[in-house]
Amino acid sequence: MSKKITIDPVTRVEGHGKVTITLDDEGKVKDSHFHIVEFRGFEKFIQGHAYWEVPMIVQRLCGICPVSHHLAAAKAVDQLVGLDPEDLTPTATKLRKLLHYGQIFQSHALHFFYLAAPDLLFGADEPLETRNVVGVAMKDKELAKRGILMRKFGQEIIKAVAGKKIHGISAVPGGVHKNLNLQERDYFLNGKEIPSIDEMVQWSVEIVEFMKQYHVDHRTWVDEFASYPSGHLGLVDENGGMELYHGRLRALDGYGNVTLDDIPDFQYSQYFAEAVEPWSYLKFPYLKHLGKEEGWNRVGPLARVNVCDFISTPLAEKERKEFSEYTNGRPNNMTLHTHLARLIELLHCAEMMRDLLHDPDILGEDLVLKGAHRNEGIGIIEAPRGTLIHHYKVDDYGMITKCNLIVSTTHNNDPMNKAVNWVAQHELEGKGEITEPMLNQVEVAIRAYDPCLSCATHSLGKMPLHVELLDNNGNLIDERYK
Amino acid sequence: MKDTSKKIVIGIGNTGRGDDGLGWKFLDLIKDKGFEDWELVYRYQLNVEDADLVKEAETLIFVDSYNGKLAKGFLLEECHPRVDFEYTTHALNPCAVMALCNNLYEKKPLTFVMKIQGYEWGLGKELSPRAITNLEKAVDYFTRKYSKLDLA
Repeated sequence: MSKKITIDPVTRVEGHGKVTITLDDEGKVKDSHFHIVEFRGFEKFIQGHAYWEVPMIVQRLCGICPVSHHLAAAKAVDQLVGLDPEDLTPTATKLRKLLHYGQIFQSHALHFFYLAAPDLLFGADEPLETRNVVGVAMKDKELAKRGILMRKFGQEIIKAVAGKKIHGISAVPGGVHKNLNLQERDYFLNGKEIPSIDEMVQWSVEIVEFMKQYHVDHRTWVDEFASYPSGHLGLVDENGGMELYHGRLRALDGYGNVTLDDIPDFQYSQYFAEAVEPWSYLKFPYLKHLGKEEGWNRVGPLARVNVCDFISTPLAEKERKEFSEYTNGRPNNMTLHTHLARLIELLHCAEMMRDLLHDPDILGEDLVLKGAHRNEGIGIIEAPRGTLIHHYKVDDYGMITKCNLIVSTTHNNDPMNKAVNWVAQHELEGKGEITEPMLNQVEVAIRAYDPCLSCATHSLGKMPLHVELLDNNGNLIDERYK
Repeated sequence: MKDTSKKIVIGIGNTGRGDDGLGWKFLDLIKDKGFEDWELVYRYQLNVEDADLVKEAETLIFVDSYNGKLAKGFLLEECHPRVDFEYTTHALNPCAVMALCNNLYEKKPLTFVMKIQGYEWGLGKELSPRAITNLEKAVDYFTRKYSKLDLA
């Protein structure tokens, strides 16, 4: 008899989603969907607010990556006061970048040590009761301690620049509202109260080595699990280097052909469209000229490492080269390699923070500039989970009349659904009994993308996972909640 | 030698969610009641890194709203380290934080949880009148038990 599997909630991800897999009478996968079941209305209720409120309000999209929304909105709002990104003072730009790297550093540390590590250390077959962060702490104390301290370091950077760890304020229209003083800077350099930035760089190198060795030990699984060709999208600088704060949009197909050729960020709407499906609140962005079926892209660490020609910091660049050589310079489409790509970025952020903390400009006094009013602003940055687009229009009084947000997890909607389908076909199809470890394989594939479903639907609420098993007629046969 | 006499109160909640704000309001009210040498920490939720925060504490109190019935409207009870599975690792319960602290740092501070009964959890609301009554009783009990002020 045909049946439908439901995983609800998906665990160790941000937000609330569920998976349904429908099997036909012969036990073959008929259909599979990763549903985002939250709804929110940020794009609507931001309308009518004054432009200067936006960087503060949109932070409430998320408790994990508020800094990303704060900075993307701030870049857009800069334009509303007549300033392009390159117009800001060096102090303002470098402090925003320091905040941004601190955010990505803590987010990547959180994902690797708390969310991904249980799968990597224990495997999908480990009992649910130990396959969690507490289990990680029991199995490898030093790994867990480092995870805690690395995340803490990133959060302390955020606190120093923005005033507090969650929903702080740094960016104001045309700049930043404060600099760092010597005491605040030295806190990160001297290693007295927290491990120093030099230790963060060293620990990042070591965790990259840890993941590389993991790959050696589990090569088949890491290379083959949920592997499929896809587009890859990310920002690059004017020379093709990895860029996380401000750059041009580049996309490649799964074989390395350029599908978006370094376009300036303000042209994004000419190239992207968004489709909707009745079973999800999450939209499906795609490149118009390729169409919905071919134009979808992965975003985030794997995509960014794939699309860039180099990374500007030496230690991360060494790892990127090795990473690229593994696929002979072609795009890496192996989903679980996202973990290593994420750690290469972790290392890059540590190096960038070290450089910025030694840069006297972050102690400067020249914080804010003003220009002439404009009616439209577009801010695009690379958030921890991928390309994040904020687009605002205002009237002549500076009140928001239109808002469009395309967040990282939205880009990854199609790729995550492909991953779910891959697991359904390879792990569940034809099996007589659906077990929890088998269902966890579905979550492992989703988790590689580190989705933030609250961000993606711009809503409030939890994100548990629900998996449903349906028969051929759509009747519920089995379901699991977490 | 490192000072281990640290005392911490961690208020958990969200003041934009009605009675979920009880933990934070509790901290606001005890600030001026003889707790100058206590560290007062505001948290939306407990995270893994809080194990690092509490490892230096000698006495530790978690304060949170409670969505259930309590005979006196509040309850102060001891919290023992306990590994507890949650669907997310971004919101640990106090006992799981203490289990992490004990496992990672081999520290086991004397720990209590102050539960305060709440009733309404809507967005943007103030505390409900009944929750305010429970809060006042909890603060009164707590200050009598721990404050360095002479409240006689």
